[in-house]
Amino acid sequence: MSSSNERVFKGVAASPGIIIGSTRSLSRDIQHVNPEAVDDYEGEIETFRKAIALVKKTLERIGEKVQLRLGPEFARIFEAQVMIAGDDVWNENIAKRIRKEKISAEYIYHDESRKVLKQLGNSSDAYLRERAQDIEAVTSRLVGRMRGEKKATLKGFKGATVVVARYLTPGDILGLSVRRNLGFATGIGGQTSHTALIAKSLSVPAVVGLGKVAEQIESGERVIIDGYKGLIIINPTGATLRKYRELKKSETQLRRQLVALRDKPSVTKDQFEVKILSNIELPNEVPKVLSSGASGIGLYRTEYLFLTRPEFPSFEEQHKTYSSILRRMGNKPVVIRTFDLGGDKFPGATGKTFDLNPFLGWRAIRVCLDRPDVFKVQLKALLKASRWGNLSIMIPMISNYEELVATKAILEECKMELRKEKVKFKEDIPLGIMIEIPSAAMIADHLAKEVDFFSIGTNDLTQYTLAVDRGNELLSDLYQGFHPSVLGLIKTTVTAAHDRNIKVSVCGEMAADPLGAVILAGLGVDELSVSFQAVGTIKKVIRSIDYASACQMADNVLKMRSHNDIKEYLRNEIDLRFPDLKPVVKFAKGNING
Amino acid sequence: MVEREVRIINKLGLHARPAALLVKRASQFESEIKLKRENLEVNAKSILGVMMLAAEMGSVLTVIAEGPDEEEAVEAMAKVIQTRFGEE
Repeated sequence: MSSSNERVFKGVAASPGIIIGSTRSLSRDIQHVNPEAVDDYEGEIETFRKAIALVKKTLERIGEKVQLRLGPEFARIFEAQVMIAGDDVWNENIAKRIRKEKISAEYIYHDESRKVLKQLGNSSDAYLRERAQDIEAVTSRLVGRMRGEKKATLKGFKGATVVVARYLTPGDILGLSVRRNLGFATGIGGQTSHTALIAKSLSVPAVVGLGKVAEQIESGERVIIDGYKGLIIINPTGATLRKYRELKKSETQLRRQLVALRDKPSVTKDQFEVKILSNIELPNEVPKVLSSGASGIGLYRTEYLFLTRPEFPSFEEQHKTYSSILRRMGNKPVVIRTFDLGGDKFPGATGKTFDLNPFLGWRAIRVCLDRPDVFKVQLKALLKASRWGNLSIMIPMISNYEELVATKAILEECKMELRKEKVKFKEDIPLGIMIEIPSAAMIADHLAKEVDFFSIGTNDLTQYTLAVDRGNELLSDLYQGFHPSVLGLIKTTVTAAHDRNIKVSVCGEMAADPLGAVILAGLGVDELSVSFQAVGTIKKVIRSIDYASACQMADNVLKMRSHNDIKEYLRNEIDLRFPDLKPVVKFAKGNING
Repeated sequence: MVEREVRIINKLGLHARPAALLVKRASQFESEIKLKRENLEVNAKSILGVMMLAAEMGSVLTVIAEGPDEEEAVEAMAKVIQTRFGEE
């Protein structure tokens, strides 16, 4: 039995869930590859040639599997790696160095790849810097192969396991995820790293960005991974274990309850319908949306088409992606939002022309109106795809009336051009706008006359209303989604929409927060759009409340003075009025300590 | 030996796809082809080499070819780069 104390490490919460088990360290320590002399250098070259060929073949095979399981966005990661492993000129040069220096292949390959990584690291181009991931992945595979480690496996490990490593390749993650009761903890990576995205897509709890710690944890230690909060707890005390066992038990119970709600309608106890839709970032999430019980897609963020490369997707590729989503969703509504790009997220951005203040800068519809060449390709692809399903088009970041008029003019232009080209499309595609800038909320009555629906983006609306950067940790206390000013703007928007008989949805994080969902329903919001993981939770919320009470609560909070007062009031009222919701409130948003 | 300076004019610079195209074109010639940016010289037939250049839009590359088809090689490489790798 270990006598050491409980150690808690904080990383980035990349994928939710709890695993209680033991660690398995898979650090492929490619930081330190030592030069080893080899006498039989011809033999070493032969071994190297075989190893790199096998690495290439493995990558090709993984790429094919990934294409089937997760779609082309992820498969592209492997295409780049296959090209690197298949670089004959490069590999010949490695062989030459082995012959000349009589040193082990893995050292020389590693040494050569460091040179490239160093060059790329100096680049001011974010996309180029990211290619380093691909080179690291190939190098780590080759080094592993040369050392006789076939691949990262969990052979000999039974039961719940948390894999700990400095870095795991996307291929490792996919390969390991066939097991149940698995978690990942890595030293490098952020919320949008390949590791994080794949873990989330596969619903495996993961904590990333742990830093050096990940290399110091050894195999076989008792561990708890808390993917809600981004914690790794080594050697948990009895009390911690009990707490997490309790949590895991109620997590499982709740999950069962939520699954049972899948095919039930999203109505309040007094039979008032509040529809629940799902937000997606990748087309491969469509099956998960369908099985989550969502009644449609409330927001598809098309900027994620750039996830793994810098080019604007072509008309054909966009058309294919949009039609495939629409077709698979059948007659269920699909709201596709046009590119929300800008600042450093713009393809081809060199990082040299940064907006000093990107959130207030050249972003979203502002970019699209300045670059009609790009915008029109997207609109035409959407129009052409409209025949395949129930499409709505949504425009982000509208701040004034003229932008909306200009956008509609471009859309009409696209329709004219398509008619000329004899391309068929639906004539009555609903057009909506995001209400995420306070100025838009305040002129919502005018905007409502021009569109078919509103969708409130509460994240940006909060950030712009309060002048608080939501990514700045120093300001996290000031980022107050329940600030009376924000709720007031939502109310203004809903009133303006309902006066014109158009619908309002909310697609920000507030919709996925149980307290938020209650208050939004009470404010009259018609639809809530949340991640597929949160659909069950929010449906449970809606089915546990009654609409009349929610409206009463909304009226009351609009008169209150602060975010804190409002949250406290909501917590108390919900406990009092809807006791069923206690466990739901606990688990949502990682608020698992109650 | 033939040399020529070419400026990268496509917005995205030498990203994965253009780099792959360049390597493919270079591999069709018998001559040895090098790309030079500032002090860094790489083999144009190697994807890792070309990636290492980290050439963004506006950077100037020198194409250097030596061999039986060096004239055509430099001509072809310059053309691929100047036609923006068929983008835009």
